[in-house]
This record gives sequence, structure tokens and C-alpha cells, in this order.
Amino acid sequence: MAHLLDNLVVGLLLAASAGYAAFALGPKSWRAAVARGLAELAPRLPSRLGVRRGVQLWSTSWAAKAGGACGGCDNCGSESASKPLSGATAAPNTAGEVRIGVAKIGRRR
Amino acid sequence: MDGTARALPGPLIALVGNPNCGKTALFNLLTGSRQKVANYAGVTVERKEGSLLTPSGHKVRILDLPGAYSLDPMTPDEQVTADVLLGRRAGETQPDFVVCVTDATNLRQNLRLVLSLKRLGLPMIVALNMSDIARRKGLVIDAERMATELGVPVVETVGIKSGGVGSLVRMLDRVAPAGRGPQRVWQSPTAADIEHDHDEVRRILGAIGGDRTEGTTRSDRIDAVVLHPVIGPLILAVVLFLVFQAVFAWAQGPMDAIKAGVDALGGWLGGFMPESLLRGLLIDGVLAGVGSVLVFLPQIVILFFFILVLEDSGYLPRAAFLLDRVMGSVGLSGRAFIPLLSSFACAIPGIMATRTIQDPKDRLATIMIAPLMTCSARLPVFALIISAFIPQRSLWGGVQLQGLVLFALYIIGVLSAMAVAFVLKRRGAGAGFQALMLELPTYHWPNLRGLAIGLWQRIEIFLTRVGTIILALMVILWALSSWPGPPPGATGPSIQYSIAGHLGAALAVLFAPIGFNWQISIALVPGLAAREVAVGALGTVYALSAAGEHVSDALTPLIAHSWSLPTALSLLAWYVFAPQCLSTLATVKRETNSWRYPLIMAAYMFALAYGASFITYRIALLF
Repeated sequence: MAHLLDNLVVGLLLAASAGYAAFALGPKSWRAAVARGLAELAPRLPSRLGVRRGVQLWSTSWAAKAGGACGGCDNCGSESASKPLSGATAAPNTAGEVRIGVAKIGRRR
Repeated sequence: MDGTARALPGPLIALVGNPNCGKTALFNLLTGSRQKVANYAGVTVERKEGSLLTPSGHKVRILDLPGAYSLDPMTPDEQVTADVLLGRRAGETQPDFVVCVTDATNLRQNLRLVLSLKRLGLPMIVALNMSDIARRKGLVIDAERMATELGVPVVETVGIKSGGVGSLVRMLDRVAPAGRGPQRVWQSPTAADIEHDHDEVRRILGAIGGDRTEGTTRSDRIDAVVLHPVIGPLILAVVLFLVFQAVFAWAQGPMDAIKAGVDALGGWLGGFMPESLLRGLLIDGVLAGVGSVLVFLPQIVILFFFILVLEDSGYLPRAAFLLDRVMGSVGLSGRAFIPLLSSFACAIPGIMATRTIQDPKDRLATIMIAPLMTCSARLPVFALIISAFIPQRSLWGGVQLQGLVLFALYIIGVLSAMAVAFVLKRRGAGAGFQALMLELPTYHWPNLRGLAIGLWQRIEIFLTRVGTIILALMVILWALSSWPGPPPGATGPSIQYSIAGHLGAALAVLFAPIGFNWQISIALVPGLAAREVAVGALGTVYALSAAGEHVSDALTPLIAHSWSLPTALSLLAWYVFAPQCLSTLATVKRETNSWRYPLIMAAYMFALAYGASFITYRIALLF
């Protein structure tokens, strides 16, 4: 029984690790999609589970990172996600990406 | 902007101002964000949004925009600001209100943007920021008179003090419900308009008492030494040298403590848990892999402590000024210095910071060489190999040999970047030299609170990476190194028969000419996700390769015994050049809007890495 439980835990850890690695290293559209999905899921979660707020914060945080121009891989931290303090709230950092062809950069209008 | 953001209630208030006037510091105070702040221009290169609940309960959205000198953009970051303010940005509404942040110590320059923004016609408040510094300098600015002269409300702010935005918040509270007034159609200023603005600035400065020019300031006296053509570069070299000395000299105690903690946890788990798959995963996968990366936290903290101090003091733009001639010799402008310096932390913000470079060819060349700057993720790899192969002894004057080697590796990275830039600029026909125009901020003592927050953020980032992506990759690598198990009668370690073992053996053929064994070859693969993962991967691979227990506790002596010196030097050379970071390549793709440049970057850096490792290995074999 203990052996079976051990293997089950290892299997779950492996699946979670593979899922996280794909999520974190994959295209940022995946992260944005997961953030959107979580944002939609959060209000539908039963309140007795006590995870609604956590899921909301998580989705906001990932939406902010995915919305940043850098893609939000969390490698550098320069685009650190807004963290609410008392009296202030943070909103998703959206549409931060600049799409300007390299040859057009610096040209006056 | 996505739907979530559009649905946010409340008026949109944009923080606008010249570079380095303290917009982001105000944004952080207003919204509770922790965006990067530093004492030089060009830190913010994209829009950031947060929100504020005013004392009377109005919710307003605050937008932090890159610094701009005018609404006629010269650089990509100024383009972001102009596009947002003029309502030209796709999917984004024009701000309802503008807070024009001005540097009270430099109103002569800042007021020109205020006048431009007035012409835009959006409702506006002027925040007279750094008013405390202005007062200390004896600049007494009559804010009420300034409001009368400009025809807009003026409030004094101090962006680095928690109560420094009280008057601005109260003002926003009053104006927030009003929303946007009637708009004017924006027309680019004519030469006459610009002349008129200059006259107007002179007139207003005379009226408010801001036209008093200071004599020789403390910053001027410091600059007389720091920017001296001979003494200046020497000071810069000494400063950088001392930073790398400190990275090794100060870190040993805390590193030993972390190592002892990881060992103790491994010993406890080994004694507590029966032999099982889960025990193998926790000890050989998680502890061996994650523990071997975690141990480098003190070195990263020390490196960033110095970088943050230099950033906050105002010394970094001076370094850019000093290096302008060196940059110019390879065809780059001194403006490339700040992006390249940011790349020492991570190439990604460095590449994004190239938006402050006006010339497209300069910008592209800077993007292409940014990953050659030694990022902090390479530090664990360098530190591991240096600790294992370079004796810990002092040379003349107490200079540590290990610190000296680390300094040399950073210098090699910089010199290689200069060489690549030279080639790139030579190939780019018609590339002209751009003179460096850079605002030198006033020197000040680093803000201790800001320093502590900055360091804590770096610790948080490192621990988050260790606890998330590095942990996940170590678990996957452990699985790949454990299955399939060895066949009956096998004599070698089980990892040799696993998927990772077979992959390592196949890659070893490719890497044998540069001295890499199959364990190193395996570690290079997860190292593609992030460079420091290679250290964790070596920890896991060697833990599974060894017959004894808890070998993971001592990766440094293990590789010192397993590798030859030529192999170690070859791996150091590999990591000076190799672009094993997918996120960097993805950022290059986004910033250049093309797959061409990331592919060229990956190809040239792999070629450089292989070539440098080959030469290093072959030369080292001769001795």
C-alpha cells in the first residue's frame, strides 16, 4: 500500500512538473489563456473551498506578466508584477508589447 | 488591451514626464506596485498600469509611461508615450487626465514638456517632484505662482517618501469624478511654437523663482574626479573589480551555511524515509538538483547589492559617458551602455532597454550583443567551476584569485560583445556615429529602503525560480535519468541505461571534441531553459551516477575529481558565449518583430561557444 502511495505521489509530482514546465516555458499566449481561464473559473468555485481569492490573485498575476512586453517568463524580475498594498490595488498590465518593425524604429513621422 | 482591462472602472490617469524625473517612484507610491526604479534615464520603456482608491472612495487607473522630452517621438519608448497620449495606440483609450511629473531641480528642461502637454488639451496636474531636493539646494519654487502662470494645478511631491504623494492623491480625489473635458486636435508644434515655448519657459522660471542657476554643486565636484579622462576609467575599473572580489570574498560563510542546511535535510530525509521511488526523487532529484543551485544565493545577493547601489547613486550614467569613446570605437553609441549594463542582471530587460536607442542599426547591434554580457544566471555555473578548479588563494595585495578569474570572465564577455558589435556595424552599410546626449543625474546616497526592497526582490526572484521552474525541470530530469532501469546483469550506474543516459551518450559524440563528457552533455539540455539549471542538472546527474549515498552534498569536489582542467576551462568558455536561454531568444523575436534575428543570434552564439571551447580545450591540453 505504501509502495503504491509512493508511486502515486511521484506520478503526480511528475505530471505537475511537466505541466508547469510547459506552461512557464511555452508561448506567452498559453499563459494568457490559462490566466483568462482561471479568471473565469474563480467566481464559480465553491466559497467553502476557500481558494477563490487565491485563484483570482494568481490569474491576475499571470495576466499581468503575460501582458508585459517581455512575455513574463519571470527570469529577470524587471517587470515585477504589481503587488497590492493597503489602500491600493494592482490591475493587470496589459497591451504592453510594442510591435514596431526594427527598420522603422527611430524614424520620425 | 484585453477585455479585463477595458472592464476596469474609473478614469485613466497618465503619469508623463521627462526621463528620470521620478514617475515610476510616484507610480509605485500611488498604486503599491514595485516597478523598477533607478537614478538614470530610460528605466521604464513600456506602459505600466495600476489603480488607486482615493480617500473618498473613487477608483482611478494610473498609467506609468516611459519618459519623453516631447510628443514628437525619437525613440521607441517615446513612441509608446506619444501614442498613448494622442490616442493612437490600438485598442487603448486616450487617458482622461494627465499628471505631468516634473523634476523641481531641473524645471528649465521639464517645463517644455508641460507646455506641449497643455497644447494637447487634456486636463492636467503638474507634480513638482523632488521638491525636497530642490529645497535642500536652496531652490525655492513658488508652486502657487507656477499654477497661476501655467493655468493648471501644481502640487509638490516627493517620490521616495511614503507620505510624499499626499497632496497629489487629494488633488486626484477632487478631479477624478470630473472625467475628460473637451479635446483639441493635436498638431505637431511648428518652429514658432517651439520658440514660443522657450520664451515662455524663461518667463515662467523668472516669475516662480526657478531661474536661479546654481554654482558648482557637489555633483560637479565629484564629476571633476569621476569623469576625468584618466582617473575616471581607472575608478570604473577598480569599482567593477572590487564588486567581483566581494562576490567571492563575502559569500563563503553564507554559502557554507546553506550547504550545511541542504546536507542536514538530505541526511534527515535519508534516515527517515525507507528506500523507495519517492525517496530517490526527493534526495537525488530535488535536493541534489535544487540544493546545488540554491547555494549560490549569497553570491547573487552580493552582486545585486553593488549593482543597486551604483544604480541608485547616479554613477551608472557616468560610466556610460566614460565608455562612450570605447563604444564609439566599435560603432556603438554610449547610449548602448545602459541596456548592456542591464544585461548583467538578465539579457531580457537589457534587450527591452534598447528601446531608448534612437538609431535602428545601433539598436539592433545592441540587441544582438546583449546576451554576451554575463547575466546573473551564469554566475552559479561560473562559481561552481571556479570553486572546483581555481585554488582559493590570495595574490598580491589580498586580491583573491577566484574573484580575479570571475572578473576576467566578465571582461571576456564584454570584449567579445564589442568585437561582435564591430563586425555587425561594419556589415551594416551607412551606419553613422550617433553622438551621446545623456542627462547626468545628481549624485545621492542610495535610499536604504529602496535598496532593501531591491535586494529582497532579487532574493524573491531567485527563490521563486528555484522553487518553480528549476524544481520542475529537476523532477523531469530525475525521471528521464531513472527510466528505463538497468537491464539484468548491468554493471554501470543505472542512469547510463536511462533516456537521459542515452541522450547524453548521443550528445557526447558532438561535444567530445571540446572535452565535455556525457554528464555535461545531459546538463546542457535543461540549461536551455535557464543557464543555472545546468548546475542543478549536474547535481542530479552526478547524484544518480554515483554508487555511494549523498554525493549530491558535494558537487564541487565531485566535479573537481571527475573533470580535467581542460574540460573545466572549456565549459567556462562555453558559458561565456552560449545562448542557452529560450526566453532571451523569444524576447529578441518580439522586439525585432522577426524570427530572423533570434535565429542569427542563436547560430552565431553557438558557433562562438563551440569555437571558443574547442580552442580553449585544445590549448589547455598542451600544458
